[in-house]
Amino acid sequence: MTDAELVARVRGGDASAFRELVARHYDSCWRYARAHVGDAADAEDVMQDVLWSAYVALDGYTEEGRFRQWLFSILVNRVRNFQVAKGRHDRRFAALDDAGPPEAAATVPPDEDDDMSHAFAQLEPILREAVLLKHAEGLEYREMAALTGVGESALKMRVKRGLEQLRAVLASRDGRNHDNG
Amino acid sequence: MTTADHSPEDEEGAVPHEVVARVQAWHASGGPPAGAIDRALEHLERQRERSRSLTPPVVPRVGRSRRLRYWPALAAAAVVFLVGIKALTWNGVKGADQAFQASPMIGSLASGGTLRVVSFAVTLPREETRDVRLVGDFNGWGTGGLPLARNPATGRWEGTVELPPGLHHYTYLVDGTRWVIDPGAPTAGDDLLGATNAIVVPDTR
Repeated sequence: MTDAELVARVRGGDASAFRELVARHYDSCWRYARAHVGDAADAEDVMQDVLWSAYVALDGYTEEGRFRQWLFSILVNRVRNFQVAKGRHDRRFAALDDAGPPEAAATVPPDEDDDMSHAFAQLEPILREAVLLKHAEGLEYREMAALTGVGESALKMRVKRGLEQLRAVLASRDGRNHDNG
Repeated sequence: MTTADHSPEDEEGAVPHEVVARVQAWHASGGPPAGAIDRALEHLERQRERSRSLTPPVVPRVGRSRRLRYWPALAAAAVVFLVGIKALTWNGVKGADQAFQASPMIGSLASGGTLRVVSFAVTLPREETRDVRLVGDFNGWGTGGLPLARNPATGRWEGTVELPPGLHHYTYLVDGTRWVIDPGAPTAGDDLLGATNAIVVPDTR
């Protein structure tokens, strides 16, 4: 059964059809959220937000045959909102604790045992977003432009810069691992 | 066939394939913890129950209340109140994607019985936006929401709703797919809803 057929069933009141849609897309969405927020529990929180948003917006879904892109548009939005909210939270509590300047909202707690996690944590959110959408999710630039509201040229530059920065960080980590090995 | 997406000579430049391969391998590894989907669906069901238990949506009416006798003083108090709210809650938005930010425009308060006419206005960065709806706890986070109208003079999407005193959460649903919070308006974190905008309607009885 296609996504469009499942959506039609959900609109008809079939709860199991929504479960099937979730089961079909949760994994890839969670991986995208996890790559951005850096924490499995936070990624689950983001996904709960995404699923609720998708559920209430399903009546307005009209992009037949492109459900995954529609869902990802919600996911990208909610990940951005999460990062904005987290930035505010970190600044507020840093001020309360008088712990010095708050860290940027862009920082994702790196897993030191995972070179790629560490490398992604160094990227600005907009570069991380572009690299993931292009090379992890396999979207075309025109799809990314429709989803993010950013022009294709800007997206290509972001992907280019993101990959360059990843390569630099990974090379540094690989060199250090070699020395310690 | 070479397309703009694959030409090595466009803005993307030469693609470091070894980095791309590592990105893809890393992204494919791991996965959500066991039971994550079940927890997500349980959470969704709780949210559905919660939204059904909310008070019936307030039917928005555009226009002034009949009780206008004290509106100049109340309007002045509302402005002071709103400035105070903004001063207490403004954190600025740093680190957010500049291409994504919505312009802040919080609604103004006007007098009227126990309900207050609250005006909402938001500026969106995308000119091709077709539909903007105000969705919040005052209309049960319904899929319809309150349709906003675009002001041709200012480009802002505007609408009004009558709200009882208290704290109200809301957000904007754009083109039926994007949920936009106004970074310049007061916000409130909610364990169920995540980040939303919030407005406190004063009780001046």
